[in-house]
Amino acid sequence: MKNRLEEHRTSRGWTQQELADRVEVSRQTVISLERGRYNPSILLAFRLARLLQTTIEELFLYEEGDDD
Amino acid sequence: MTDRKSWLRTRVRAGWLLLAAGIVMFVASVLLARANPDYPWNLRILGGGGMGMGAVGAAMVIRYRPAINDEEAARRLAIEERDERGVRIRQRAGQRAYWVSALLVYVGLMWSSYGSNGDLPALEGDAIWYFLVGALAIPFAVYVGSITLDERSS
Repeated sequence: MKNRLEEHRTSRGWTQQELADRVEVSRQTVISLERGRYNPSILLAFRLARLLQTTIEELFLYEEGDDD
Repeated sequence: MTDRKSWLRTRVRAGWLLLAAGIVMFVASVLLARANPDYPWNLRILGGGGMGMGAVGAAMVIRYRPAINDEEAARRLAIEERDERGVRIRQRAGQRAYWVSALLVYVGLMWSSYGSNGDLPALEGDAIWYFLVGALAIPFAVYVGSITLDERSS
């Protein structure tokens, strides 16, 4: 699933490690999320959206075919 | 008490429990062997199991106990163990290892049935030992391999 995580993170001047620390996941998880290789749980998606002061829909872009 | 602290305390308690159970098993095996040297089955299995359990318990206590009063260490441990991607990778690896293990047991069962009919060579002595070692080691290798692959690809 595509997302705007990196865009939101860099606009705040945070490193991947800083974002990872703030949502209590590993840095590797943030890397995988940003590359679109890992889809987060709904709880992590909410935590990220709240932290970045946006909505899940704005952060994660669901497209047809993402279920495959 | 924070959620993290209570999680750590539970892990430490489990560690102490495993350590105590391991010691009891080991001591029981030594005492039983001394009381009756002609015991009908090999007590080293009990002693070895006890040593294994004790080692796992001690490792848990050593790993989690210092973090109870160290907020930063607790946070790092919690992230390391409860990071949702890591948990998902380990769950998938466990699932794969389970199916491989079930398949091996099924093959062993079938072999044993055909072996008793004489259709296949019977599993006896060393063959059983090697088969059981394989049934233990292969799923473990699948578990570790699956984690390694998923860590790279996801």
